[in-house]
Amino acid sequence: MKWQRIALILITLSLLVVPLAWSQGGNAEQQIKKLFDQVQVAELKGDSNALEKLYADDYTAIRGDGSLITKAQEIEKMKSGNLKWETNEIKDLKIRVYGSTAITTDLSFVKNIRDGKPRIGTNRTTRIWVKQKGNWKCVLYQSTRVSQ
Amino acid sequence: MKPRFVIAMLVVLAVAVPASMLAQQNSKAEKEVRAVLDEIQKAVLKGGVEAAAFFDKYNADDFTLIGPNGAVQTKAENLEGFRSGKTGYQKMDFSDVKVRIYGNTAVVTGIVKFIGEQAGVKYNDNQYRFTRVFVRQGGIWKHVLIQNTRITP
Repeated sequence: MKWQRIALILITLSLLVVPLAWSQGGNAEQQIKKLFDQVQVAELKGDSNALEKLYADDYTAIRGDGSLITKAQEIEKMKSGNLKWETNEIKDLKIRVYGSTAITTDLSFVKNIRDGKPRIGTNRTTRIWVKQKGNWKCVLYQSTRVSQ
Repeated sequence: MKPRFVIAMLVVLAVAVPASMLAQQNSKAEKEVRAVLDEIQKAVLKGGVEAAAFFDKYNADDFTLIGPNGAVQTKAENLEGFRSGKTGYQKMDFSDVKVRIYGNTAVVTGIVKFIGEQAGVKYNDNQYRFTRVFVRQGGIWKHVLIQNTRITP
């Protein structure tokens, strides 16, 4: 009787845990997609406050010219008007979730002005997201220019 | 001993002990990841079937490589490049390597200098800013992503 009870509890738990785990995986992908879209909107609007919330404190960005910048530098560029986005068309977006880390890769056609220099081109872009204290934050961005 | 003091000590311990354990775990993980990076360098320089066998083990099934021209390679394409000799390097030097550990994921950034060829792209001792992401799967730190961006003056 005792073993039957234990078996019943284990079966009930597994029935509860498996769908929960599955739904969390599904939700994570949806959450990342939402945040990814928020980054695009914030960039186009020049909304540095929104980006400040979406980026982790240790966020770093590797730009298309291989330069490395910190969160503070990126936010400052946007606030000072030295970084303005005109277009950011996303294609081939892929989201991969590994527990509390997620990777997004995409192909983006961009038009922006950075430090007074206009830039038009297609980039292969990666963002890495980490769940910190219950919230997904972007910890890294890398862009590589696509050459023909 | 006053109950308030005991409670305060317990609170301090509850915060400090897990933080210290996490720091130790991260330090151990960072050493492991740096060791894997050394092994990667050796395997790449050996090239051929030896490199293919190594990356068959250390690249995850969903591995993606974004080359400096923006071209994307899968694990199968990457291994085939080594096997066929279309991918081969004579030099691969890492510098400015930074490892960040987030639980079972490691994000490694740095600069790499290559001499060699990969998928039709020739590397002539230029500098690239790289990101490598490793995820711990089955007790092994496996590569899930590499991206290289050329540093232009």
